[in-house]
Amino acid sequence: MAHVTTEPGAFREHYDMIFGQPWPVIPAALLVGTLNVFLFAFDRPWTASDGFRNWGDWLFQSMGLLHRQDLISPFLYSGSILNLGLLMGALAAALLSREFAIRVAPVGELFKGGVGGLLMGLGANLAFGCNIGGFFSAVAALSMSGVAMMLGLVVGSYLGLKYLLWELERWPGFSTGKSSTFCAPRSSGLGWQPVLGILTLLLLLLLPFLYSRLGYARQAGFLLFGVAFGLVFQRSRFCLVRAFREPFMTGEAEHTRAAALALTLSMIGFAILKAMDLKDATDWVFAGFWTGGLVGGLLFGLGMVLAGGCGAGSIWRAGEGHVKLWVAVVFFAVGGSLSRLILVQTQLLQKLGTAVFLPNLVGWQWAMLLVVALMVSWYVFATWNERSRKFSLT
Amino acid sequence: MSDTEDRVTSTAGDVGGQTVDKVDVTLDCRGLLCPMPALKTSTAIKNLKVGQVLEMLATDPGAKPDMLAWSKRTGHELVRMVEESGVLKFYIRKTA
Repeated sequence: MAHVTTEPGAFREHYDMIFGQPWPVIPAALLVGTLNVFLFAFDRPWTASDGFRNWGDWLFQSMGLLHRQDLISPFLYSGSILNLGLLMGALAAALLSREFAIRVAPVGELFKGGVGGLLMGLGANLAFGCNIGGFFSAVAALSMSGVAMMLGLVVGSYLGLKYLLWELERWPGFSTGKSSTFCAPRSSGLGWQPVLGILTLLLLLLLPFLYSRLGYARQAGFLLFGVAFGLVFQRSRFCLVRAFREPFMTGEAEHTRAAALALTLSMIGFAILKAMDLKDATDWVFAGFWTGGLVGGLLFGLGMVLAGGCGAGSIWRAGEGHVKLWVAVVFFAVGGSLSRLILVQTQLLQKLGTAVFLPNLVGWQWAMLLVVALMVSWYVFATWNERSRKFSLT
Repeated sequence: MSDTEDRVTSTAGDVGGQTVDKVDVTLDCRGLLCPMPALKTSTAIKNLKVGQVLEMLATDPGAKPDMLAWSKRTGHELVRMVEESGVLKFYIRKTA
């Protein structure tokens, strides 16, 4: 005789599967790489620095320090909505996984968050994008500025790590001190966080409807993309800072491998879009080869290691409640807006390099092959280093 | 008052389960984000004698997989890990 009952056990099992344990890094990274292709097809590739700069501009405009006629509202500007979606998606994921808490780091850490944010804001302007837009999406778009930024990121993150190790050795007190944690989940039972998480998710599904209703269907799309990124990042904790820093630190290569694979996948998708004339060949190819890319990458790499998060990482960790990254986000916005102003005023913006689309130099096949070779080298180097620990400092 | 880990069990959680009789050093890494907790633990463990136990407190959810990997990499024994109201407590016994 069939006996149908509601099984709290089965629900718990599914909840655990999605929100009880972390998502594996490589599949998550591949998903991110794929989403980026969808996003490019929808409008343009993923970047976080555009949104930050928009926020900074708005802050200064509201303080009367800036007068831009063409400034779009943060609630309507694509880059801003992507970032906001990422933030809220990560918040929802953190709540659902009971990993949200407002964590106030010691003062020295908060300071590093601010400095890191400023460096990222500046670096992103020099390289025409953050580590996502200026490196990840740019290399996927076969823009040589992205390759220059990659080199800069390697050097910058190495320098950042050296600094952290020096600071821990010589000045351990700087990262020690009073920390506070609020709104942490209770030990027993599921608690209130998953409930808030579901409400947040419902809100995030409702907002796109509102946007569409008001005639802003495009914005609805950006929000959904942002939320998807936020969810995937928070659950998997896939981190591009780790992709660059970890080989020099612990030697662990998982995130590096994931990044290399994800970028390759994005590149293939981008190439199809460009080759089929669904997108312009020069889309996302920046005039940053090579000075802007290299120097921008260096500053950004340094900043992201100090801050503990990159373009995406700062946002999703902010969504999880880390106050250090709230500080980083604010200063990324401020730094991004200010440095852009300075670059435009001093006309340095034109001197950062040229826009080089690799297929124009060596043809499509060789261009793609070279980028794949670059990613394979990165993957192989990191994996070899993981075993030999040759370049690991700790 | 129970010291048991009764939050949702994950594959990375509930390490050890041995009782810890004595904590020799406590390292407070609350509020710190990766890579700080693992880096500070590496430094702190140097000042312990073999067999002594270090208790490390962290609030970064990423500390869980980080410390599991750290333990495997350094060889020091991650005796037990509990979570209490958002604070992760790691008990590490120094091996040779």
